[in-house]
Amino acid sequence: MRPFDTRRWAGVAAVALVATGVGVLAEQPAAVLAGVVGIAYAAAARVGEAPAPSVDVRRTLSDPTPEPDDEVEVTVVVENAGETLYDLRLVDGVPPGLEVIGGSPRHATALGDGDSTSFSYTVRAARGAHEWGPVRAITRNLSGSWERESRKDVATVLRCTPSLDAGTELPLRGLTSRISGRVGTDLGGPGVEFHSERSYRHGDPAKRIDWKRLARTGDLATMEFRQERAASVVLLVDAREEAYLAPEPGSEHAVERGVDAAGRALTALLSGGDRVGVAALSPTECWLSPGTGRAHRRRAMELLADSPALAPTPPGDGFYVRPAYRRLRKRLPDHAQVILFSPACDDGLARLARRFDAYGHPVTLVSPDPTATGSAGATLATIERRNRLSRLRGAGIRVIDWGDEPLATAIAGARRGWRR
Amino acid sequence: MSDAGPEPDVATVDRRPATASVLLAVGAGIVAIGAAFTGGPVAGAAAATGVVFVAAAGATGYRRALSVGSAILFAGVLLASVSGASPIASLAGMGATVFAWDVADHGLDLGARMGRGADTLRNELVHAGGSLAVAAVGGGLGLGISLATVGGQPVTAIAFLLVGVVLLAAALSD
Repeated sequence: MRPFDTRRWAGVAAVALVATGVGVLAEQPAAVLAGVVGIAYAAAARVGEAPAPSVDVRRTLSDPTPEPDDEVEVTVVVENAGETLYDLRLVDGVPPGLEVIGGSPRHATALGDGDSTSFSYTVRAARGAHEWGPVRAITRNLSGSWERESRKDVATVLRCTPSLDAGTELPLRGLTSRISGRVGTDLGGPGVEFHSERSYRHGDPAKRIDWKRLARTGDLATMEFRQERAASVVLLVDAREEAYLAPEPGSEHAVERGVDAAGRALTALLSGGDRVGVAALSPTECWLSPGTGRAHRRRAMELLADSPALAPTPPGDGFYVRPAYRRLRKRLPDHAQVILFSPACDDGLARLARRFDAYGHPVTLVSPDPTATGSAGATLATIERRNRLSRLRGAGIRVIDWGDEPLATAIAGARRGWRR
Repeated sequence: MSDAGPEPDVATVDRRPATASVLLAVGAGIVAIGAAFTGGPVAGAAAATGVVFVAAAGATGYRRALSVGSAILFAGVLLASVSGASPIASLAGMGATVFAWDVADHGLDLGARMGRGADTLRNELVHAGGSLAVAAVGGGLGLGISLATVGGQPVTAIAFLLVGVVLLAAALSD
């Protein structure tokens, strides 16, 4: 950037002339002399220009791959490899998703040729890949009459992947695939829970023949059990700008909570043998088809942790629900059900959920509650959201309204109101 | 309900002025009060009022208080120098006044842009050192003129000399 005049000293010559003029009118040499000081400052303000700094900037993290909520110390070392900088101010480009909890990412100093300085601050790690912006360097000349701003790019990335060990069982809906799993169906076949009895057909396994009945009546009959099958599930996280909502500034927003819940659901569902996919409602592409296996699990985890679509800060671009819905419907396997993670604070989302449900993809909505209390507007938002959720329930969608309590508690509470 | 996204720490950064600069400014203000008192109690009282404003600006970061305080301090020192303060006291008072404003303004700017949490001490001391050097050169120049003209040249001659210097400085700059 070009240097500009800060206008700091704009009035100092006038001060000098006022002193001199007053001295002349009052015929007091002392006052006339006092004006000399003002002239000296006015002259000094014309000395020197704001230098373009040639500095080397290095940034180091105490841990580039921390766990969530870990404290990471960031150290910035700046070395001057050019002319003397009398007034150098540095502002580090802290990623918007990270919170500075100790120290300051800003530093003001003066550096001679070859001198170096360093400053450090602490950030709290949050899920995702966080990239540092350039360091802003503001330089002034000694009197501060000229200023120049420049940027130094220093690439630093902090990658924070939560280790999602503890899964939370999310009850699934009835739609299943042909692979055996843990979702109870109304079909008879091999299994554990008794379902029905039918007449023997050639080839039925001997251990499913009802021998007691044969002894009593002489008829051969085969017992059938409730079949348990695996489901195909797509975890759909609402990461539109409308979903980045929190009860108060600085607290965990609904997208973060949604991703956390999706991660737990992913762990539980995959270990239950279900096929799980991941998708996001976001201007940035994010899609992983349902699958199983260790590699798939790792890919899904990485997507949840790192995907730019699920970034900790809202996307800048606009997002249109309708084309996104069409794209998703094309990709969803026929028998897939959808678990949707969304604060449900707008009607577009509710329409989307009902449409999925209507077209044969049963929807379970896990809704982190971002509403606050305390003002009339907050109360209105709370009531609006509550009404929206109850309309969705009325339309046959399973809704888990997730407040401050642990997810498992919210699920247990919601379960009581469900029909099969 | 509110957006939690953009920088939650913005509101919590302490934007008050940098402390070292404020302390230096108040110290210089006390020197200026002392110089003003040699020209009479009214001038001294005016200078003291100005320093109170400067200190208030330094505590709160309120820029208008600094402008008003510096103006009152300047008026107090000027009043002292037209009502019988010695040339040395006038020069010291004026130098301390401009120094106090410069350093306090720098401190306010640093506070507003860097925050009080940032380490700014070295920057402040270098700036204050530069400012002090200018005040010393200006004061020395004035003292030299005063000693050279002790023979009793008329005041207007000095004034014309100074106006000439100002014009020269202006011409050289552009």
